[in-house]
Amino acid sequence: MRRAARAGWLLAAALLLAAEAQAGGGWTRKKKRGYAKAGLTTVSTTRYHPLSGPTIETARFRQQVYSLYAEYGLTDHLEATLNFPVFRRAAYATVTPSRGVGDPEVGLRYGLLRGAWPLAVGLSVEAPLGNPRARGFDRTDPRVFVALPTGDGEWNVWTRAALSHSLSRWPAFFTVEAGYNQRTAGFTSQYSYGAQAGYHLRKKAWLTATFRTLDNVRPPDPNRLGSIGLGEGVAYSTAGLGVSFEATRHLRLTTDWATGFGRLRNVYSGQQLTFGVAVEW
Amino acid sequence: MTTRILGLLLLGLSLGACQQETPEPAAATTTTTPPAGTLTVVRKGIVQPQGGVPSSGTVDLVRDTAGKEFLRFNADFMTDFHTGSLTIYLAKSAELIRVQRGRGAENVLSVGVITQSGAQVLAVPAASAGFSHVVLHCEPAQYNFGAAALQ
Repeated sequence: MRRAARAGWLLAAALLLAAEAQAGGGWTRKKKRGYAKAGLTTVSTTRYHPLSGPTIETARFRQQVYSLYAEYGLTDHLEATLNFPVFRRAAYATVTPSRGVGDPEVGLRYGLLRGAWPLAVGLSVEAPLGNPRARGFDRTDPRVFVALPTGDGEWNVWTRAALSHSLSRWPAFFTVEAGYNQRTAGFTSQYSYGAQAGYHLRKKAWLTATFRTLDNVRPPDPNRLGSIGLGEGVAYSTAGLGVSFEATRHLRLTTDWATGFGRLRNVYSGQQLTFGVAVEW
Repeated sequence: MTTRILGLLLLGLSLGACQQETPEPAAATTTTTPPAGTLTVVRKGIVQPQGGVPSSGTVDLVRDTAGKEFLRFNADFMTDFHTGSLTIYLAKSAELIRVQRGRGAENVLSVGVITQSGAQVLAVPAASAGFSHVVLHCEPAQYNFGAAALQ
């Protein structure tokens, strides 16, 4: 059950239009056990944060991301993971929407420690399946277009570590995580860190509170592709709340809310909602 | 929206079809009726950055021997096209185009669409009198990328 709550964080962590999701938690699945979640994340906002810093108010930007997240235990210590934005749709009011598959991330996580303080490390690869050249065209003047990429056109290699702890006196847990994203194609590499706390309410729903920060290891290059949450220089901090309701023994219904704060670069920020259906076996 | 989630697997099966075709845009717009004869500089401006975009360079309002007016961006003109095309406006201030247009459509005049930095010429489709600024505008996002006061 704790794992179900954690996976809710994974999708919530794909915040503010960024493709990267954070594998998290110190627990790994036992052999042949698994978890899969389908989600829809929506955002509608006018607040854009360019690379150079100051927030600007633009025309309303809307994006929906249909995503699939899965974990599967290969052995009692090793699990495979998938985080896949299978369909992204983004648009401004006056242009045709861009639509397409995003960049899938596949990885392996290994449970180094178990017991009261489980520790897991992971390595995952994000493939450039999305279209970095996707555009929206003005509905009345096709000369006018805007870049609305569904991927950043590069390989990413994420290395992550996560440490968790279940409280003994309360049905609750917390997790701290850190990661490093080795980017390619000349993009500036990134690091991330975050934490999550979860509480099991009446043995029917996990309530979670999370925060996460993503930033660049050095000042980004403004001459690289950097369009709306993808590409060069993306940075953000997010805070979120989530509920994972245990509808049946194997079925979960989830809702997550998140918003951005702190240092925000090359992203839109707004109230972001994610709805999901998950199965656990 | 939860109903739409149920369509996820079907969407996954048709991902290839969902990938949007993105034809190359037309080359940078220059006037379809080139200036005739000698050009006279009527007013000049220096492009200032806006919206966090490092726009720079110079632009001239010129008149050809036939009396037709053009905006001439010079070779030092630079701005950011990572986000897409930019629409060039003549306007009555450096304010956001949507703000000026909100006060009255006559406050702005669309001159053309550009997709690259550097030297290029756009025909001014109507009288430039009364307009004091050239504005670089991202039309879909409704935000200015730069402006030059014409003097």
